[in-house]
Amino acid sequence: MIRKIEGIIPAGLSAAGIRKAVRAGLVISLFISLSVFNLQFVHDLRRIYYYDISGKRIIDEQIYHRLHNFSGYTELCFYIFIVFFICLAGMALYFFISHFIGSKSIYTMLRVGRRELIKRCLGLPVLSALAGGLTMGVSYLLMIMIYILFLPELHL
Amino acid sequence: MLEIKNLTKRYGAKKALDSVNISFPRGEIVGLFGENGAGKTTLMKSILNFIKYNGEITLDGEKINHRNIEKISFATSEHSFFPALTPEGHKEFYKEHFPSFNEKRFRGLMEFFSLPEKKLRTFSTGQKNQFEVILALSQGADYILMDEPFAGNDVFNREDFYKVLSGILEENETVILSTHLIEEVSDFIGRAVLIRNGQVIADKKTEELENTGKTLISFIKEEYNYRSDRVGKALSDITGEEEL
Repeated sequence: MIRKIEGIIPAGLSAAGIRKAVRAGLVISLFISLSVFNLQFVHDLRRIYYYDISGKRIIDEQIYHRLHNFSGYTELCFYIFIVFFICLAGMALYFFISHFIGSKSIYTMLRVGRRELIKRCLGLPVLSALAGGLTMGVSYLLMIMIYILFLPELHL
Repeated sequence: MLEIKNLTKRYGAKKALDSVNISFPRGEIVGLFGENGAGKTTLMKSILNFIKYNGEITLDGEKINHRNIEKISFATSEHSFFPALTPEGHKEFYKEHFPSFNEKRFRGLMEFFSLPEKKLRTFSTGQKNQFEVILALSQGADYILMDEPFAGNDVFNREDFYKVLSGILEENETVILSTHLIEEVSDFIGRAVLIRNGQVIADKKTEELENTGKTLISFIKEEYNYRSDRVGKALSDITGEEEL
């Protein structure tokens, strides 16, 4: 795996370190997206009922409608992935710039071929973006599962 | 044969190279001389296709492209190695991308210069230069372009290099060496090319120079219209004292 990563990042950069960073980025994105979803969802679940003076349990209509709109909860959740994708764009830029840091290894890369240079600058960010997309999908599925499992049957 | 026809390169309004016509047959060691900004580096970068230019550069009749560029290697004082990679890592990288990589030569030169097996960024300037040249010599190229490769190396180091270069180069290998160390390389090169203001102003075999009794440095000074009295005049102007 490490050998494969070494082939799609600038020569000499730590494949293990970069893999760790991408993995951390994916896990953090997944965690934050689910946390944001759960915070909103649980918050509404807790406040769906209120009691009037007589002690009668009443459903809060505003929250009721919100609870029945799943996409309303997911809107905010995926912003973290936008941050992740921006970081990947930054990574691609850094990979390119790294060929000018400490030496002009860009000269070697230009001789090796522009295709190789593109592969080593964009390869990992593109693969990571795909992994990010997949993680977004997993996150979305988990949200659906949580939503279905915990949404109570409510009748106005 | 490396052939350059009508090579012109402009940087804005300035012509860095002006209709350069020159060819380099195999097996030559060519010294490329000229003042700073004369166009030596631009010429090399054009050969390597690093920059866009007008004119034609061919290698054995073919335009230089990704298929034949492996026949040209490059050592530069700017360094083209990967600072975070070890020499062993470079060897693997070069073996992968340059099929003619000469591992035996690489190992031999590494041993000769006693270079350590650690990341290149931790090397001293002299060691970095040595490694840069080792890579260029080991790539398995027919044309070895060197742009001020010894800048920062001490005189003993450079002398070692000339000896090693003379000893290991094969008949079909051509070295084009751009340097300001004219006297040092005079015994090492077989041909001197002078560039001034982007034009080739002189091109002579050192053998011809020897026959005329001229030294390389005197030939270059002559071609460059070097005025030896200019230092005295300048000092006289500054100090107000009469010229000696």
